[in-house]
Amino acid sequence: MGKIHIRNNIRTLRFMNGEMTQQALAESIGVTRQTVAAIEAAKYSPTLELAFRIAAVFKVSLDEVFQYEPEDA
Amino acid sequence: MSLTFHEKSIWISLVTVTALFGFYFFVAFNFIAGYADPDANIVGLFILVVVLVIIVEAVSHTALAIKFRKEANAAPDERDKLIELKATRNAYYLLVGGVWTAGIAMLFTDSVFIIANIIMFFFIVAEIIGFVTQLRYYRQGV
Repeated sequence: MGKIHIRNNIRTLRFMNGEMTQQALAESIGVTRQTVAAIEAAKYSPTLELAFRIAAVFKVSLDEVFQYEPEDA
Repeated sequence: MSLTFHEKSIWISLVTVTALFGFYFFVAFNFIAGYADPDANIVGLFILVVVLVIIVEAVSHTALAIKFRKEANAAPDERDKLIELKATRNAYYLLVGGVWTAGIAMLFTDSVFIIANIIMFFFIVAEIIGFVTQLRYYRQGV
């Protein structure tokens, strides 16, 4: 298990979208609440499809949700 | 982080399989080593343990599904599937090791009972490794 270098703003985006709960986001993208929690905590990198679904829920582009951090950053 | 339905299910299987087959192999290996009653019905014990595992798993999973009805009906998501795939891969490595061990054991014994138990032992340990791997990935990330 290598370190995941993909940062995300899901927690902030949830807050800015009416303080959406992890459960509400999970239901709208078709995963469990624990998977949303794992993504937020950078313990799981979602597939590209799921990443796009998350961005679509918040009506933002993908790079506003996820940012790649090079290893030496 | 709370446990998903899938994690709870894995915990049930892990405890059930470890306890019941642990008991079986304790008796079976003592029998092979000559420390148990030579007239002991080990095959009968094996069948009993398999039936018990099926009953305990069925009852406990049914109870779990009744308590968490909504989660139980949900299909596994992509993280569940990835974790299961990685766990299956790890379990497979151990199973291959078991097959090789049984093959080598055949050079030293012609006892079908011993060979069958070696294969079954590695099969069960592979299952346990699969469960433990899944639980680890759920907690530490995948």
